[in-house]
Amino acid sequence: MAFTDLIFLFVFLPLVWLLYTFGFKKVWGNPFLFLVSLIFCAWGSLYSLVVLLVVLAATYAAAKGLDAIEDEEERRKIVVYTSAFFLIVLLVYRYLPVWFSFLPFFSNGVPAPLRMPAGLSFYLFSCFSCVFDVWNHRAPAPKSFVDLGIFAGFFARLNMGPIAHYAHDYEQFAHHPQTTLKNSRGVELFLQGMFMKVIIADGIDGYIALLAGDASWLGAIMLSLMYLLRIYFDFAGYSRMARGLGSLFGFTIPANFNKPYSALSVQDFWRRWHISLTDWFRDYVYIPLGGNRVNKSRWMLNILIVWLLTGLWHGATLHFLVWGLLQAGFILMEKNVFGAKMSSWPRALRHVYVIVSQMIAWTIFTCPTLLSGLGLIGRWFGIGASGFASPASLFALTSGAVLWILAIIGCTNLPKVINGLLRRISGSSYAWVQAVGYALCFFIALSSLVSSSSLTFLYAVF
Amino acid sequence: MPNTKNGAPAPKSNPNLNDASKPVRKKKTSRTNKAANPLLIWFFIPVLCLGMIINLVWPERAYSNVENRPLAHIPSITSNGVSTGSWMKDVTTWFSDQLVGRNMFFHTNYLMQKAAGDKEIDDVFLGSRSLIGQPKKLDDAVWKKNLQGITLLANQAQLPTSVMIVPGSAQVQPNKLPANAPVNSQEKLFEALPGMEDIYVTPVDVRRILQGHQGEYIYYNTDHHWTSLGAGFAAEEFFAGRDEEMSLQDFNSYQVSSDFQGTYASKTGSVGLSDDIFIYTAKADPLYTVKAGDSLTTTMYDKSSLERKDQYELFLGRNQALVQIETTSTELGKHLLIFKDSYANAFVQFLLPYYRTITIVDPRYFYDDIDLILSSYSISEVLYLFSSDNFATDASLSNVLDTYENGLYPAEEEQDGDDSEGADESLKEQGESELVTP
Repeated sequence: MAFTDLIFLFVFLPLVWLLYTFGFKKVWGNPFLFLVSLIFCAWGSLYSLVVLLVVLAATYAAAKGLDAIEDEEERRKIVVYTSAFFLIVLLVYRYLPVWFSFLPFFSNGVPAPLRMPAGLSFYLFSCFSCVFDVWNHRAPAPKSFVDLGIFAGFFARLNMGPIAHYAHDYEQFAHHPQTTLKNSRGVELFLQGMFMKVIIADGIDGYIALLAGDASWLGAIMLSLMYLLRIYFDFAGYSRMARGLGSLFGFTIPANFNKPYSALSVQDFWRRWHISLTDWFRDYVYIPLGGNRVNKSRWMLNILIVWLLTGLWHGATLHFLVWGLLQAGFILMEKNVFGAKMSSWPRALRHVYVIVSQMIAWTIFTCPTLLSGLGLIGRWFGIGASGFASPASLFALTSGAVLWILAIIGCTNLPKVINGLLRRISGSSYAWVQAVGYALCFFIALSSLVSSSSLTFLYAVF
Repeated sequence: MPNTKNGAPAPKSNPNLNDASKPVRKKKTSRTNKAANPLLIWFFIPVLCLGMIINLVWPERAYSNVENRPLAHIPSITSNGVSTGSWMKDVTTWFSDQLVGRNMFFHTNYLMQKAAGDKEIDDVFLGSRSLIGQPKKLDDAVWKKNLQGITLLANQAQLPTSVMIVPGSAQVQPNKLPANAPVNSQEKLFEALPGMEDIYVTPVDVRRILQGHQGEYIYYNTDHHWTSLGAGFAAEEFFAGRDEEMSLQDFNSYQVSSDFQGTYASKTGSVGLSDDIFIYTAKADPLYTVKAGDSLTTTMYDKSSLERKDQYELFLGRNQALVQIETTSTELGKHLLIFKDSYANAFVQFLLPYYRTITIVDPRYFYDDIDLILSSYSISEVLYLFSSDNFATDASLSNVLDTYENGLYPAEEEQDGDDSEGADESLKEQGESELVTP
């Protein structure tokens, strides 16, 4: 079930919220939320539910074992065996069907029991986090299977994260009160995310289809820019909806994005983009490898390893690996070539550098093959371009003008500034202005949802 | 036990926690000091709840008149459907289809997109007071095989054959398109048509004729079909190519509708656009009967369609596999067979005075052998009348033609049916046509 499915909006969400708020919250709050999360998961298929339950059971057994056993060697074995099991699950569902798609077994597509359950790599990483944090004594094992289920499988973050960090979150299991502030903030975040996804990301998607075969220079530049904008509004929109849903049930889910395209370097960009994944790799891969407290060549190797794994996490094909190595390349360049000089660059130049580097990266990431990605980038420089502009590119530029303006504004701090301005102008009636504004956003997004049956979230495949 | 501010017990600290481990970084929540807006909760939650109640009690609808399509029914539950997730998918679709107020949201979306300056919705360009469909991309293997089949049948059955491929309005009335509209080219198909000409086959250049009348009301503004007037101009050209006299002056036109909202209106949810429908009857119209399936009528106009969504069905009713028209025309010995799509339906009204019988086959729904048609109805000539969109993408015509004498296409051709190069080669070997190879 996606957050933009009408059945989620008009049946699942209100029903669950009402039953929780006015019924189960006081006594059976967490078991109820776990149960509805299982239903949410099973909506994909019963096989998805089985995989989730098996992974949770393995995590729970490992965490409890780690808590109970004091012998470090035994504890280490538990972590190794559990990690190996998680990696096998990931390999079987995520990578084997891609790498072995040529086998006759896959000739009619991936059989239903082997289809990757939605959100597998997200909740597996959350479970990894639980095992590692309990192993490192950063947090106690979950008190109950239900608590673990809420941590890793809560429906708000099940499909596409944000990846949960156990040591940050475990205190919330026992106590996540619903407050007016959290409810109100939850509605705000959910509707903001819905607008980002349905109006902007899905709107851009239509123009991407239009320019997919365009060979002009302008078409190539616009297509790469669209990739850059769409993935942001799609994934950040989803993450915001997830945070909003969490807030409606009293949880605090940290922000997963922080205006990444306003970053001043690629390192800065990755502190603002998919923050939960970056944090995960930092805490559970980069630092255990020694981080930057090793000699320089090992440090560089650590960075390469982290980005290679980040690429692999996104997909099993070459272009994802190249995308990961590209990000590593930018970061290594910033550390070794630009160094401190970067801070003396004009801010505009640093913004342009980040946008262009990420345009290259997202082009490689989004195009179905490495060659097609390189071909598109080649057209930026006139290689293989049919001309300066085509009717399709001009059409996309003019017909989508309002969309482009909205998208560019949405990447900046301007919405916050406009909101502040509105607050000052409207004074005591700000609450009404805000409510009417959000109601309009909801109505517009709903109209678009009903007429187009929203597209699936891009990160749902990861 | 220490309590938190709101009275709940604070979480216990874990005695096992390693002091030397990295302290847990608490994320700051920058909005915690921000005031809540209860209005948001009072708006959002009741709207969702109300939506839920209304949608769950509202009776199921079978058909959307606005979208012109059947709506999904609630699926029956099966164990396989539940385990694979297909049942859940069907329920999701059912709920979306049955959403109360769907039509209003559909129209609102159109208005919002218009207001935002969007010039295209779902492959329909939003022109000024007009909706224009994006022509389909050519499927080279399909249209080449269709052309080849026409030539083969004409020569093997030795029947005079006319070919009319009708472009959509985007290719005829570019002035109605928004600026820079990226229209798919079907040029290769239209360039290939003159090359078909031989002793049996006569291509009719409908595109040129329609372009000559591009300022007139020759296509509907909300539908993908041509109007009766557009069909009439094409009919004049059809007869002119056969050295026969036919003029629109010999027909009376009557307006029968002013509120037709066609397929493009359904696709986009347009508001405030509608079309007029005219019919043309010859001043000396013969009497005729129309037989389609079990029904036998004395008119080709299905007036009941004017009460339905798709008023274009006025012409010959809903699409049928086989329609047989018998007239009292004095043109004895003239028996026309039409292979067609729905574009021909508005065209047939101009043929009535000129043929004794008109047999109409829609290959999309026709599953018999054409031998039977050719022999039973004493066919004296054949007309192929298709929209370029259908002709270039729908393989049903070649499938039907291939039923001629147990196989029209050469055997090796069938094996490589999808290979357009193969199709070209075969034609050249036959020496029966000079298809212009794009």
